Amino acid sequence: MYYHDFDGKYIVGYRVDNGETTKRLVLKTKVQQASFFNFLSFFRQDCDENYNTSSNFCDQGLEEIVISSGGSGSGVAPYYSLFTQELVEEHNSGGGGGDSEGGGGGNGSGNTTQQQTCTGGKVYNTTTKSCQCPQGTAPNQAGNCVVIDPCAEINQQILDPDYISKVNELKTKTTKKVENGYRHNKDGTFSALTRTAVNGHSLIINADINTIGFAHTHLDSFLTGGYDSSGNPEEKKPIRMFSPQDLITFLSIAKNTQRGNVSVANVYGTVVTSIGTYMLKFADDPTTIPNISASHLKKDYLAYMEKYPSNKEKAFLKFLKHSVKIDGVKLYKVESDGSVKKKELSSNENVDTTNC
Amino acid sequence: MFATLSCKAQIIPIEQQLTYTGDIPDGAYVKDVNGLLNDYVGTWATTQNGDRYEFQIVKVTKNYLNTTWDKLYMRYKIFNISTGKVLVDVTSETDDSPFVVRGAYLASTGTHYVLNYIGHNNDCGQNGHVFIEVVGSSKNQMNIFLSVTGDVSPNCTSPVTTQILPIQKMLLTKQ
Repeated sequence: MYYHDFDGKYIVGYRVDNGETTKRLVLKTKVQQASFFNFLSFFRQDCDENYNTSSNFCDQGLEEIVISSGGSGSGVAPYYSLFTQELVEEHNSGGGGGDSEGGGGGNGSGNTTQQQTCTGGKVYNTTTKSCQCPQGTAPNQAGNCVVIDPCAEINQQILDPDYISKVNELKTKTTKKVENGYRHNKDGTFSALTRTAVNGHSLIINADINTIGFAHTHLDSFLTGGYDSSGNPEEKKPIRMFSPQDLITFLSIAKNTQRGNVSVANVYGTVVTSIGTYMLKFADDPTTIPNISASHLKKDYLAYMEKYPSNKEKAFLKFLKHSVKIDGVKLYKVESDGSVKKKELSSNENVDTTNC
Repeated sequence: MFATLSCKAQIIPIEQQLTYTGDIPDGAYVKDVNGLLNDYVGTWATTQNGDRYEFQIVKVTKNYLNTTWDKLYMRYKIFNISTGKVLVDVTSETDDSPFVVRGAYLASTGTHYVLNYIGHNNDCGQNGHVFIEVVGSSKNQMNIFLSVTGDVSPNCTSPVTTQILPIQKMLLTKQ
């Protein structure tokens, strides 16, 4: 597809394969800026394999520039704007900041808006027409958005009456035989979580690109209802701290913020137990989060919980430090009076508690 | 590997593990001083609904996190008797494999034992605690069942709706 002005002067061309614009064809010397009205040229025969040497633009030859694929919609044909007198290339906004991967919650296919694709957790500011880190974050050296002050974010979040209501409800359910919980969506709503496998007591969190966090219970020890042959009850002993699966879910939510749909400043995970309410925040570059396996981590996790049975904070922090090794994961405890405590390992690997 | 212990190493009998107060100290040995785990060792099996269930239990001594532990490790294989089709087989897994069912604790009553279970479909909820108990005067039978936890991670594309280990108590015979 070739664009010429009324004088036949070549502007630009595009190669379209299977409905997708794959290459831009420019003159080898420079891109010709059109100064008159758009005129779609079908003079393809001038630039086929056997170049017509009398043709102006074919004489000069065309250079092919590959257009990098942006997923669905990247092949939408550009048009020449009469108002700006320049060529405009459109991108399908899809779901989540122009990224075509799993765009759940997006505007759906075929809906095109002009916007720039932002990376590193930035969002497009339509006023300034630029990609910027969302509130509560700032770009690191790599240009990716990192939370400025996790404590400030937590202190603000725990003022949310909806969040308070959900956590208070969960506090009444730690003695149940099944977990309860909620997924927190970016529009401020909470979605109740459902249980997983048959007879299991855990929940499916089903985080997507519109998820900012979750809050759920971890249970006290409870009787399975069965008895051994001596008549002694068979008791299940859940662990009252984040599980490896909780951690992986939290990290997936943090990692998703790269798409610019949710700010990493808002991302959290909460576990409500009878020994305290704990929260996870991510305080590093989400683009550095690696893929990790719950199966292999669980072995280490259980070892730490077994070694420190009466100090779950210490067990979890040591697990984070020595097995998970993702420095950005930070642990906080929200006390019953509303104060927030940061939990870290000291140099001798005891638990340091500081006010948030 | 069995670590050489100093004569000052603290011995904690396995039946006291659950009631022990505080962290398990560095250098401690959580030990089966009374041989309570010995009756569990062996191969146990049964056939149910055309499927053969085989469980191999060994007693091991492991050192990790500066502590020594006596544990039961369990491996299993389930296959269809008629077709020979193997439903699951972890009998060749090494001790470091997450799919070996590792002992967690002896009940404080000493009358049953609990192990941590991670299945091949762990991301989709195949996980929980396996309860085992040796029964009968000859101690040649064992009850076993899985109490499902069902933790699911984001890597799961379809939550599992059935477990492969028995969730109802199953009676095994020593082979």
